[in-house]
Amino acid sequence: MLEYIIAGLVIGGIYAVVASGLVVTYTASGILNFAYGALAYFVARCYYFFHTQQGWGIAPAALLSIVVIGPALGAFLYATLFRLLRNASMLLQIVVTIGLSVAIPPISDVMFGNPVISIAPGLAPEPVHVYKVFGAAITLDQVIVLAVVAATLIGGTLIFRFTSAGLMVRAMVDSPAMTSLTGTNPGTVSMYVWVVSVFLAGLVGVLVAPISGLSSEEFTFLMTTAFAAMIVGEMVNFNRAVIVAFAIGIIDSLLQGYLPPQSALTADIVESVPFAIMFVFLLVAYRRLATRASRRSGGVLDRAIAPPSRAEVAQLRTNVPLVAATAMERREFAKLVRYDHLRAIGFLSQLAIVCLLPLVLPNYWVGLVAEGLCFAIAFLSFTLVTGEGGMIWLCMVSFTGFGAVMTAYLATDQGWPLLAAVLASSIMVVPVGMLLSFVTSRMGGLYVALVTLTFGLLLDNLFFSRQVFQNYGLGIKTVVPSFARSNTVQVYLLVGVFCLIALGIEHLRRSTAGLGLMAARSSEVGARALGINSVGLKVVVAGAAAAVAALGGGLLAIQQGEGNPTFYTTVGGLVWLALVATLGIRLNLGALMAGINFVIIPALFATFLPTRLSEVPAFLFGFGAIMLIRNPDGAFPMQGRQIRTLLRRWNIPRQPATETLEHPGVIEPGLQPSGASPPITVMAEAGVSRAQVQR
Amino acid sequence: MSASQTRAREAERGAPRPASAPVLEVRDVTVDFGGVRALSAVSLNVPGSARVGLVGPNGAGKTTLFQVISGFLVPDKGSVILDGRDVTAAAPHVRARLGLARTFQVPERFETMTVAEQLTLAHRIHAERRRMWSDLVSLRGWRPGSPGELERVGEIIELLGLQPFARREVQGLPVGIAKLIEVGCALISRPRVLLLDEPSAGLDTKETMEFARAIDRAAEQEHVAVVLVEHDLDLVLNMAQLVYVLDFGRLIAAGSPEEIRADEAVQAAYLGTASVTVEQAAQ
Repeated sequence: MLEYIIAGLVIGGIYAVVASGLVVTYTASGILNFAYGALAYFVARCYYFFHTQQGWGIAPAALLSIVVIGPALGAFLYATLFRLLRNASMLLQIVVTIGLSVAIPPISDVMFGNPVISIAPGLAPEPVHVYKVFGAAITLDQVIVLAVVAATLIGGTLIFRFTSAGLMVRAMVDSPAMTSLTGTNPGTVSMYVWVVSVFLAGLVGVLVAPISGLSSEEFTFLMTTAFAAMIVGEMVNFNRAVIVAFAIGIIDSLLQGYLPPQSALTADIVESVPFAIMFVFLLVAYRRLATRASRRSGGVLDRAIAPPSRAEVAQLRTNVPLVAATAMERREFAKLVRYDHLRAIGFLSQLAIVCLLPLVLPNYWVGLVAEGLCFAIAFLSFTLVTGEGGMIWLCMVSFTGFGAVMTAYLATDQGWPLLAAVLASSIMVVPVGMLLSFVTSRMGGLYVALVTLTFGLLLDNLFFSRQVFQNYGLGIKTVVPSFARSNTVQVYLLVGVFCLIALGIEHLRRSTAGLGLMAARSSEVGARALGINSVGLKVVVAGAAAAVAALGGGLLAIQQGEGNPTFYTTVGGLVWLALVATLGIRLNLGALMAGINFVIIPALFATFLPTRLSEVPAFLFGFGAIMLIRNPDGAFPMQGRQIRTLLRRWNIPRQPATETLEHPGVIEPGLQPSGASPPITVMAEAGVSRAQVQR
Repeated sequence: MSASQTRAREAERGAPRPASAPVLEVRDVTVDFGGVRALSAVSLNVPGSARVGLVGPNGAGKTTLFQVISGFLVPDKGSVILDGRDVTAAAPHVRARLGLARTFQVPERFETMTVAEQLTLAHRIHAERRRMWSDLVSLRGWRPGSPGELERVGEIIELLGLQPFARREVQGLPVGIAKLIEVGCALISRPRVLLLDEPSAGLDTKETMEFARAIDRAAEQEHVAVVLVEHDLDLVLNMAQLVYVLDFGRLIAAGSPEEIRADEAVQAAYLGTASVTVEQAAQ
């Protein structure tokens, strides 16, 4: 008993340090760091490299990796990334940090090699000394962890409560602008917070490696457990998060001790504990969370383009006189001009290229294009749920996985016709998606992301791990129907399906509901004040998105010849979101090209480049997401802007498009009656600067 | 002159009575917060298509009265009459349907929408509510809006001088423009009364002036009564035809801007209570 409690305290203490690090950086910088696990992994991997691979002693290896490299990494990432993320939209913050977490493991593999790591040493010298306390065994590693945890939590609390450094951080939480007025540089404070945060992450990484193993998956799982504690702490309650983290550790440890160790169910139950605790909490606290929904929730990628750029401010100075409007012109003002030919041309030209591929590529590659199209269909669910619905869902992959597994199960194990199996599994997820959206959409953006993430992890543990679907890791085989045996036919059929769904999404965009969703994405509160039933709209969109995801999964199962749950882990699904967001989460084109690249790029690397570069595609996907910081809308919208600029330069007549995309010169406050147009430079500038301050 | 004297004078003279009947009436509204009396027996009349100002120093009870009128607060005593109907207990959205529109101190921005899109959405929510869902199963979304809709949206854009921004996304636009867009969304449903909450908050003098001019035009063309809740006395005196002054939860004066300018109680409330105490001492 005592041994289990000690083990529970150790692992709970680690969860507590992680949770407290996440809470402090979140409150101080407004960013929930999804790359925490990856950063911890990187530092731990550094330590393993110096200590085990290079044979350094414990002290120099630990000092270099934990005290030098970790904090330096923190400072570097603050300067290049986190600094810019502070005022970015929730989606951008999530996607960029996810991109970081995707990109870091491949980098460390390239830097430190990729050996099989069975046992990672901790900070205690080998062989690890074992003490006896009241008859219970406790290793020196465990003692070190407990000491570090106690020092961190107690020291951290004291620093926060009683030192001026702590006061500065607490001031930053409330208002960076006000803090700067007291003579403190908020940038410096933020940087220290990130430096300390990554230092602690690295320390935790080194400590936890001997316990849970040194792999990026384990570290991500560690982080998600801390997320659960953080949610119960309502994101900002430090003490409650710490207590819950300890509780999770102890409950886990006791369950592990008293449940039958052979049963596969034991492991699943143990892994589900944090998420079960979180769900119970959400049920209890739902009303409170819903009424206090975060104001930051709304504007997806949109708010990302924070203060107007210098060019825009210059544009505001341009003064174009007003002309009195005729009735005709008046109607012209009112036209909704978001839909221009360029978008359609871009989409159709890429689609045409995809359609030509089967004619020029060898059969193997045509098969990959077909697989990519299946992914593209699944990715359209992101376009719907996040691009249109403004909900940041991190569990779409679970719906896709459900579609794949259920299609295979119904078709092969139950003998259903294949198409009926696909349709049935798509329809089955609709109520789940609607319910999930209904429950989360009143709680604000970050909760939506975290709840859906945990929902996905819970499905991984409790549903996809069932032997009937796993089949010893082989999944359930499927048979391609006779009319679609040829890869070329598959490509054209899948293009047809993709176009149908894309058309449906375009239909939504052009409808009044699409306008309503656009309003809700920008300002949930404002949308409700206008009288829009934003929850209703979101529930419908989420149901449709879940169905699309499952449909993509079903098609994947057929195309790949198996419905295998191991292909659809929630953590793997984060890469999907990163990739779609990189190319353009608001465009059907983004989903199309994300799907095809997701399959083709790794295949290109595997076929034509040496194996040691096989991790590069994962790095590229992660890096692409990181680069969103420069182009928050994604690659294709950016290209669209560039092409529009070119067209304008060549003076080619074009359809009018939404004007922000092109920074027009027609900005004039325009309160003057027609004709009179006194210089308004000052006002426009003043207005802009005020808008900035408001943000 | 004390508040009771002012009220007595007001009763004697009657509120300036324009030709049209009042479209909004507040009768003897009293609100208590715990032991604090926020409003005591306040009455006011808003004649049809008039511009009415409600002013007072900070803490005078303006916001409380505003909440009572817009329906976020139910008064302890008294009633609110909108267009002849008692709406004292009606919820805000019911009042909105009966023709009471309002704006907020800090406008909600729909950053990625163009001005035309916002106004179109506001228009459809009011005039074609069913389209929110029916568009999903018809092809109407692919066609341009109805001529009526285009005309109405264009009219509001022109009325508020928003032409240069019609196709521009809202983000990056000055606060003054955001406020006008909000007014546009409120006006598009052809309300009977438009409540403006502290319209000058966040605007500089020039912007405030331009905002006032746009509201003037709107009130005239749209035949809407405008109620302006403001602490900026000058703005109200320039804009309103009828002004009510609150202080410490009581109505201390009512009348035309000229009368208010001359009113000693108002001066006392705004410049300090010295003159009143002297007067009281003399008595």
